[in-house]
Amino acid sequence: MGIRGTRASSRTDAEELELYRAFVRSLTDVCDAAARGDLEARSHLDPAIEAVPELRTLHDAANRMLDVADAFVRESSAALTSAAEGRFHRRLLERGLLGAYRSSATAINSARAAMQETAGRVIEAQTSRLRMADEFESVVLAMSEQVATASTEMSASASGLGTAAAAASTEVGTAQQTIASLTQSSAEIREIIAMIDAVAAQTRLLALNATIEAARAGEAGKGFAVVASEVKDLADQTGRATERVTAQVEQIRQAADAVASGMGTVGTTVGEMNALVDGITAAVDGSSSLSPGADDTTGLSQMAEKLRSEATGFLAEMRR
Amino acid sequence: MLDTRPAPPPARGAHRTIRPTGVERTFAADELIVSKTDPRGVITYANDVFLRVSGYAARDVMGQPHNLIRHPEMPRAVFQLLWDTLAQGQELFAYINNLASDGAHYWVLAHVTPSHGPDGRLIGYHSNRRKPSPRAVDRIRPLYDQLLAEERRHPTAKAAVAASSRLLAETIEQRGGSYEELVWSVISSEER
Repeated sequence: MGIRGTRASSRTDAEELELYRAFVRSLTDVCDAAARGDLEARSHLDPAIEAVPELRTLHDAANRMLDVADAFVRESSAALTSAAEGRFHRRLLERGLLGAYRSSATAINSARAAMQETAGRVIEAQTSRLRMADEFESVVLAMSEQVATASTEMSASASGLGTAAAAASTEVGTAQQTIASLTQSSAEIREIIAMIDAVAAQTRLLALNATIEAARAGEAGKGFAVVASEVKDLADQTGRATERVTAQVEQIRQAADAVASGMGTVGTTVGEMNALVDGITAAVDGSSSLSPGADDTTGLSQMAEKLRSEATGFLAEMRR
Repeated sequence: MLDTRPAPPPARGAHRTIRPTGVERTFAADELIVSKTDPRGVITYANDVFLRVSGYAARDVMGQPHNLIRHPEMPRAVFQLLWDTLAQGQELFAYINNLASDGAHYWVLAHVTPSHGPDGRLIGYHSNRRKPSPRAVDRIRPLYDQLLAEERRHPTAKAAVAASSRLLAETIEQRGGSYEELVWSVISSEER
């Protein structure tokens, strides 16, 4: 009441009308600036206007309107910028914002929450992809490691087997030579026995002639007849002995034949084994390991290496 | 003690010697305290809520440095961080205790941003403050007390602000985030 009374007494109506008009002009400028998007614009008080309560209230109300618009624009754009940069903890504070500003803030916060959820899912998918890549890598590495180890072992075994087979081949050859010389010896023994047989037969014939001649000599040939009989017995014994030796030699020959045929089978088997070992070597080390320069067939160890490098490339792609 | 009445008019020219009275003043949750400064921090605008809560008349604050309402119990490191952040063109949220002209104090949750002209040039700073929740203030106060204690161990303002800024940086690092994340963890859990 006091201020109103002072105002009434200190100003004429014309002066007060001029004050109102001046304020309306200045507030119009502020509103125009704000309409153009200049949210820095504010109504400024001069002391004469401060003394008019209605104008003071209008001044405050206009500035409050601009303050809240200014605050909303600053904070909402900052909140959205933060969300776009993945800083989702930065909300738009709804406190202090009323009506449409608050509903808009709520809507922006919901959009921000949806963005956060989407970003979370993307991160989750990325994480699970990386985890899958890790698992895949460990499996592939373990597998190729095992294959490499197995192929190294197989290669060593094949090589050992090849050496053993070669040694066996040599042994079989030596044994076959031994048997051949045994067969040869048997044949020579048979020849000698035939000679002894012939000598024994001749001796028996001589003994028979001597007996006849001793009988013709009468008493004087009796002693000689005894000798001739002894000689005949010896020839008979020799004949029996050569028969037994012949039978023995025949048995030895048959046994040697059986061994020779067995050795032939062993030789064939060892030869086949060599082919199998070559096959294993080719599978493990590749065909070029056997005949350099030939069309290469990829070996197991190369395949393990290739698998590893393919998997590494794939994983690099997967982890991008 | 809470005092929601407007502050009494201040004695002119006496702001430099205001002694805190320990009386806490507050304002409504749907109100915004707004002020603007030029690039040097000189006040160019203060809204009606600012004037009512701080107890100053418009003519008392216009053209004055913004630290007019600085409370002596606010650590300097917080203002250092504020100006460093603004210098990078970034916004900053901070809990700040302000001193009214009559020695009362009022806590705010301040949002400070640089203002740019149509040509993109910096023309000043803008700050709007909301009423903070008392629990948020309780969460932030121990950190401020620690920073303030550190500052009081140093004889010069420069050494004090350097030491407490270091302590603030260490504290933030220990909690494994940025100052922004620290403030937002308080806002998110206490300002609902």
